[in-house]
Amino acid sequence: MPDHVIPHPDLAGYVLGALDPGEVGAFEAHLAACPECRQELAELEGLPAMLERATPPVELPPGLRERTFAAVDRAAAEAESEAAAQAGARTARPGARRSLRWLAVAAAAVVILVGGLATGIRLFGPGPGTNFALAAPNGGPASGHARVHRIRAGLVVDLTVKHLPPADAGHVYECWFVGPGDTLQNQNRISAGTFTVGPDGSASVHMVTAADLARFPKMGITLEPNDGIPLRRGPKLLASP
Amino acid sequence: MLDAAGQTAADEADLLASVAAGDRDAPLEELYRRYGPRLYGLGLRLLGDQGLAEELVQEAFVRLWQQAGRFDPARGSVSAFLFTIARRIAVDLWRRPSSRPFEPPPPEAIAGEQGHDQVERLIEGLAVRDALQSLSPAHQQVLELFIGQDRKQAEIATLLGLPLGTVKTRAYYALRALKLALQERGINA
Repeated sequence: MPDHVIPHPDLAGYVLGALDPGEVGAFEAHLAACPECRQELAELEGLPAMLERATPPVELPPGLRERTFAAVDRAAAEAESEAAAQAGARTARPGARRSLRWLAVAAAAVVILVGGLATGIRLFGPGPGTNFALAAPNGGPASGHARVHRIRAGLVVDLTVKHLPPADAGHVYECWFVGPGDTLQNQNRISAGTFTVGPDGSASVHMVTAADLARFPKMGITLEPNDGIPLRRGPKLLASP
Repeated sequence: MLDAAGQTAADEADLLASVAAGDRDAPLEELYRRYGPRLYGLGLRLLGDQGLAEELVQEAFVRLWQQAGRFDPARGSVSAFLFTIARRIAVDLWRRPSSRPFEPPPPEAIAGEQGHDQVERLIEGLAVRDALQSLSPAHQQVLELFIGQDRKQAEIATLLGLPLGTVKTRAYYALRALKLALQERGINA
């Protein structure tokens, strides 16, 4: 151990090239007589050159962590439903019950989608604006209508809904633009925004989103947990044909 | 007794083994905390686009989760494994037709014969930046004042409004902390 608390007080200044010529001479004289300082110097002297190799600082986009883990969860859900499909009716492995549940949900989503198409409600447009007629996929009383038109900043959505089922404080309604092949496991949709409804289940909402209608030509309304996770997990309440 | 670099490599191998055993939560979050910023920086430097850099990070963690079972600690570090994955993704993203509307030639770093060394240097530079950013603000500040400015320590004490002795001590501990942070990122400076 050196006899000083830290090595010679000028060691760091010497390594960093921040000593006056007089201080350099004094420190080097000390160095010749102090093996501990020579050892310290050997360990630290490469650092300034290394610091100059540092890349410039970069700011991470907000939410990258959440989006990355959402991508991992999607891949995991997909792998599970594939595994379940392959396992078929064989004796369940650990986890297979969960996979089968995912598969059932996916199948239900397909049925809902096909059902929505079969109701044959007309989609108006294209034109200066695009209209979406929204109906409950299960044939219930809820309904809605949205008019979408383009401005420079994106799409303006004017949405009116009626008779939506009530939601508790932990849930919000979410309006989506939905693209082809969208499933719960492999989502291909973009949110236009979230909203709440009055006691009678109705609302009139004005939203702006930068979704591309060519990629996401359909609209759906779901009920989602209000927890900030930007994925569809809740039930579909309304859908365009 | 392992040094800091060996200890980090052993910890990360354990983390990835837990991921391979099916835990996608805490161990993967810890690996993201360690590598997310460096992967994003790599993507940004190789692909020159924030959106593509973000895709690279997401896809790197998806593949890390998928391929965790193939990791063999006898053949290399988690860091090397992850950056190998990231470079393959960078190549895929660069070649994807929709990536860029007008097709500039792929940079040497991605496609060229000499690309390997260039990317290794870039990965090292990202690790140095990451190490620097892991230090306390006081340590970062004192190192920034000392490095590359040709300032003498008395001048830095005046700039910081601190006694000279305090600045000398702080600079020493900042160097020590940096040395350790670099070792934890596999760099022996």
